[in-house]
Amino acid sequence: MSLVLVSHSRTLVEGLREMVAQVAGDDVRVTIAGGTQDGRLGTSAPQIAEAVRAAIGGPEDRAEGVLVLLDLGSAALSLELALEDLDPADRAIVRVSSGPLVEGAVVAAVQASVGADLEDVAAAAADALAVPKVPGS
Amino acid sequence: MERRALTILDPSGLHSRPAARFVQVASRFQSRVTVRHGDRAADAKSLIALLGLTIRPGSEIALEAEGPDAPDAIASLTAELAPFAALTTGTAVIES
Repeated sequence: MSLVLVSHSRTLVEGLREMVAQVAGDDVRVTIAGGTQDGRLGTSAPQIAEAVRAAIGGPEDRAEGVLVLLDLGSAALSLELALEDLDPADRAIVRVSSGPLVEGAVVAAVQASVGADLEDVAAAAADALAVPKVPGS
Repeated sequence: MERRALTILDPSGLHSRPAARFVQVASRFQSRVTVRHGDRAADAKSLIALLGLTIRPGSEIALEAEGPDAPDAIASLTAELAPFAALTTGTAVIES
Protein backbone atom coordinates (compact mmCIF):
# COMPACT_ATOMS: atom_id res chain seq x y z
CA MET A 1 0.00 0.00 0.00
CA SER A 2 1.19 3.47 -0.91
CA LEU A 3 -0.16 6.92 -0.14
CA VAL A 4 -0.25 10.09 -2.20
CA LEU A 5 -0.64 13.41 -0.40
CA VAL A 6 -1.97 16.28 -2.48
CA SER A 7 -2.12 19.89 -1.31
CA HIS A 8 -2.05 23.44 -2.59
CA SER A 9 1.12 23.89 -0.56
CA ARG A 10 4.38 21.99 -1.06
CA THR A 11 5.44 22.91 2.47
CA LEU A 12 2.27 21.43 3.89
CA VAL A 13 2.68 18.01 2.26
CA GLU A 14 6.41 17.91 2.97
CA GLY A 15 5.66 18.46 6.64
CA LEU A 16 2.84 15.96 6.59
CA ARG A 17 5.02 13.31 4.98
CA GLU A 18 7.59 13.86 7.72
CA MET A 19 4.90 13.51 10.37
CA VAL A 20 3.48 10.35 8.78
CA ALA A 21 6.94 8.75 8.70
CA GLN A 22 7.47 9.62 12.38
CA VAL A 23 4.21 8.04 13.42
CA ALA A 24 3.91 5.06 11.08
CA GLY A 25 7.56 4.33 10.23
CA ASP A 26 9.32 4.28 6.89
CA ASP A 27 7.85 1.09 5.45
CA VAL A 28 4.91 2.72 3.71
CA ARG A 29 5.68 4.55 0.47
CA VAL A 30 4.37 8.11 0.58
CA THR A 31 4.62 10.45 -2.40
CA ILE A 32 3.59 14.08 -2.47
CA ALA A 33 2.31 16.72 -4.87
CA GLY A 34 2.01 20.27 -3.63
CA GLY A 35 1.93 23.70 -5.23
CA THR A 36 2.10 24.62 -8.90
CA GLN A 37 4.93 23.73 -11.30
CA ASP A 38 6.45 27.18 -10.73
CA GLY A 39 6.32 26.92 -6.96
CA ARG A 40 3.22 28.94 -6.15
CA LEU A 41 0.25 27.81 -4.05
CA GLY A 42 -2.06 25.69 -6.16
CA THR A 43 -2.29 22.23 -7.63
CA SER A 44 -0.85 20.79 -10.81
CA ALA A 45 -2.30 17.80 -12.62
CA PRO A 46 1.07 16.73 -14.12
CA GLN A 47 2.72 16.92 -10.72
CA ILE A 48 -0.09 14.88 -9.16
CA ALA A 49 0.11 12.32 -11.99
CA GLU A 50 3.83 11.96 -11.35
CA ALA A 51 3.25 11.43 -7.61
CA VAL A 52 0.55 8.84 -8.30
CA ARG A 53 2.80 6.95 -10.75
CA ALA A 54 5.64 6.99 -8.24
CA ALA A 55 3.25 5.65 -5.59
CA ILE A 56 2.12 2.83 -7.88
CA GLY A 57 5.75 1.92 -8.58
CA GLY A 58 7.24 -0.26 -11.30
CA PRO A 59 7.15 -3.98 -12.07
CA GLU A 60 9.48 -4.75 -9.17
CA ASP A 61 7.86 -2.65 -6.48
CA ARG A 62 4.29 -2.28 -7.67
CA ALA A 63 1.91 -1.28 -4.88
CA GLU A 64 -1.15 -3.41 -4.19
CA GLY A 65 -3.16 -0.28 -3.70
CA VAL A 66 -2.76 3.49 -3.62
CA LEU A 67 -4.79 5.84 -1.49
CA VAL A 68 -4.81 9.53 -2.45
CA LEU A 69 -5.58 12.16 0.20
CA LEU A 70 -6.10 15.77 -0.76
CA ASP A 71 -6.79 19.16 0.73
CA LEU A 72 -9.51 21.38 -0.65
CA GLY A 73 -11.15 23.04 -3.62
CA SER A 74 -9.45 22.59 -6.96
CA ALA A 75 -7.17 19.84 -5.70
CA ALA A 76 -10.00 17.44 -6.60
CA LEU A 77 -10.21 18.82 -10.15
CA SER A 78 -6.46 18.55 -10.74
CA LEU A 79 -6.49 15.07 -9.29
CA GLU A 80 -9.32 14.04 -11.60
CA LEU A 81 -7.32 15.24 -14.61
CA ALA A 82 -4.24 13.41 -13.37
CA LEU A 83 -6.14 10.15 -12.91
CA GLU A 84 -7.62 10.34 -16.42
CA ASP A 85 -4.11 9.90 -17.79
CA LEU A 86 -3.50 6.62 -15.99
CA ASP A 87 -3.71 3.20 -17.64
CA PRO A 88 -6.90 1.40 -16.62
CA ALA A 89 -4.86 -1.24 -14.78
CA ASP A 90 -3.17 1.48 -12.75
CA ARG A 91 -6.36 3.46 -12.25
CA ALA A 92 -8.00 0.34 -10.83
CA ILE A 93 -5.70 0.23 -7.81
CA VAL A 94 -6.02 3.94 -6.98
CA ARG A 95 -8.64 5.13 -4.52
CA VAL A 96 -9.37 8.76 -3.64
CA SER A 97 -10.18 9.44 0.02
CA SER A 98 -12.71 11.94 1.26
CA GLY A 99 -11.04 11.73 4.67
CA PRO A 100 -9.26 14.68 6.29
CA LEU A 101 -5.74 15.14 4.90
CA VAL A 102 -3.73 15.13 8.14
CA GLU A 103 -5.60 12.63 10.29
CA GLY A 104 -6.44 10.50 7.27
CA ALA A 105 -2.82 10.28 6.17
CA VAL A 106 -1.61 9.31 9.63
CA VAL A 107 -4.17 6.58 10.27
CA ALA A 108 -3.96 5.28 6.70
CA ALA A 109 -0.18 4.98 6.96
CA VAL A 110 -0.38 3.17 10.29
CA GLN A 111 -2.93 0.66 8.99
CA ALA A 112 -0.89 0.21 5.80
CA SER A 113 2.21 -0.42 7.95
CA VAL A 114 0.49 -3.40 9.57
CA GLY A 115 -0.47 -4.91 6.25
CA ALA A 116 -4.05 -3.70 5.80
CA ASP A 117 -5.37 -3.75 2.23
CA LEU A 118 -6.70 -0.80 0.21
CA GLU A 119 -10.25 -1.37 1.42
CA ASP A 120 -9.28 -1.22 5.10
CA VAL A 121 -6.81 1.62 4.70
CA ALA A 122 -9.42 3.68 2.81
CA ALA A 123 -12.02 2.94 5.49
CA ALA A 124 -9.65 4.06 8.27
CA ALA A 125 -8.88 7.33 6.46
CA ALA A 126 -12.58 8.02 5.90
CA ASP A 127 -13.39 7.30 9.54
CA ALA A 128 -10.77 9.83 10.63
CA LEU A 129 -13.38 12.51 9.98
CA ALA A 130 -15.46 11.30 12.92
CA VAL A 131 -12.74 11.03 15.58
CA PRO A 132 -13.22 13.59 18.35
CA LYS A 133 -10.20 15.85 18.87
CA VAL A 134 -11.16 16.79 22.40
CA PRO A 135 -13.03 14.56 24.86
CA GLY A 136 -16.78 14.82 24.76
CA SER A 137 -16.98 16.46 21.35
CA MET B 1 -9.54 -14.20 28.04
CA GLU B 2 -6.45 -12.39 29.24
CA ARG B 3 -7.07 -9.00 30.83
CA ARG B 4 -4.91 -6.25 32.29
CA ALA B 5 -5.91 -2.89 33.70
CA LEU B 6 -3.66 0.15 33.39
CA THR B 7 -3.74 3.82 34.21
CA ILE B 8 -2.29 6.21 31.64
CA LEU B 9 0.29 8.48 33.27
CA ASP B 10 2.06 10.27 30.49
CA PRO B 11 1.16 13.95 30.66
CA SER B 12 0.25 14.01 27.01
CA GLY B 13 -1.95 10.93 27.10
CA LEU B 14 -1.56 8.06 24.70
CA HIS B 15 -0.33 10.30 21.93
CA SER B 16 -0.25 9.35 18.30
CA ARG B 17 3.28 7.99 18.02
CA PRO B 18 3.01 5.50 20.87
CA ALA B 19 -0.56 4.77 19.81
CA ALA B 20 0.64 3.93 16.30
CA ARG B 21 3.42 1.77 17.71
CA PHE B 22 0.83 0.05 19.93
CA VAL B 23 -1.28 -0.77 16.84
CA GLN B 24 1.79 -2.17 15.08
CA VAL B 25 2.64 -4.42 18.02
CA ALA B 26 -0.99 -5.56 18.48
CA SER B 27 -1.15 -6.46 14.80
CA ARG B 28 1.64 -9.01 15.21
CA PHE B 29 -0.67 -11.22 17.24
CA GLN B 30 -3.40 -13.52 16.07
CA SER B 31 -5.56 -12.83 19.11
CA ARG B 32 -8.36 -10.33 19.06
CA VAL B 33 -7.15 -7.45 21.24
CA THR B 34 -9.50 -4.87 22.70
CA VAL B 35 -8.79 -1.69 24.61
CA ARG B 36 -11.54 -0.54 26.96
CA HIS B 37 -11.90 2.99 28.30
CA GLY B 38 -15.06 3.64 30.30
CA ASP B 39 -17.96 2.16 28.42
CA ARG B 40 -16.19 2.29 25.10
CA ALA B 41 -14.10 -0.39 23.45
CA ALA B 42 -11.72 -0.28 20.52
CA ASP B 43 -9.95 -2.82 18.36
CA ALA B 44 -6.27 -2.45 19.35
CA LYS B 45 -5.26 -3.10 15.74
CA SER B 46 -7.03 0.04 14.51
CA LEU B 47 -5.46 3.43 15.21
CA ILE B 48 -8.64 5.25 14.32
CA ALA B 49 -10.60 3.19 16.85
CA LEU B 50 -7.96 3.85 19.53
CA LEU B 51 -7.90 7.59 18.89
CA GLY B 52 -11.68 7.54 19.20
CA LEU B 53 -11.33 6.45 22.83
CA THR B 54 -9.84 9.90 23.65
CA ILE B 55 -7.52 8.44 26.28
CA ARG B 56 -6.07 11.15 28.53
CA PRO B 57 -3.66 11.28 31.49
CA GLY B 58 -5.36 9.57 34.40
CA SER B 59 -7.54 7.47 32.11
CA GLU B 60 -8.01 3.94 33.32
CA ILE B 61 -7.94 1.50 30.48
CA ALA B 62 -8.11 -2.25 30.19
CA LEU B 63 -6.40 -4.46 27.65
CA GLU B 64 -8.17 -7.67 26.73
CA ALA B 65 -6.94 -10.38 24.44
CA GLU B 66 -8.70 -13.47 23.25
CA GLY B 67 -7.00 -16.09 21.16
CA PRO B 68 -4.11 -18.55 21.00
CA ASP B 69 -1.39 -15.98 21.78
CA ALA B 70 -3.40 -13.84 24.20
CA PRO B 71 -0.87 -13.97 27.11
CA ASP B 72 1.99 -12.95 24.82
CA ALA B 73 -0.09 -10.18 23.29
CA ILE B 74 -0.94 -8.72 26.69
CA ALA B 75 2.67 -9.01 27.88
CA SER B 76 4.03 -7.28 24.77
CA LEU B 77 1.45 -4.53 24.79
CA THR B 78 1.90 -3.89 28.50
CA ALA B 79 5.66 -3.62 27.92
CA GLU B 80 4.98 -1.23 25.06
CA LEU B 81 2.89 0.97 27.33
CA ALA B 82 5.31 0.77 30.27
CA PRO B 83 6.73 4.29 29.78
CA PHE B 84 3.23 5.75 29.66
CA ALA B 85 1.19 3.73 32.12
CA ALA B 86 0.98 2.11 35.52
CA LEU B 87 -0.49 -1.30 36.14
CA THR B 88 -3.71 -0.89 38.06
CA THR B 89 -4.16 -4.48 39.15
CA GLY B 90 -0.53 -5.54 39.30
CA THR B 91 -1.01 -8.92 37.71
CA ALA B 92 -2.90 -10.29 34.80
CA VAL B 93 -6.37 -11.54 35.58
CA ILE B 94 -7.48 -14.65 33.80
CA GLU B 95 -11.19 -14.72 33.15
CA SER B 96 -13.08 -17.51 31.52
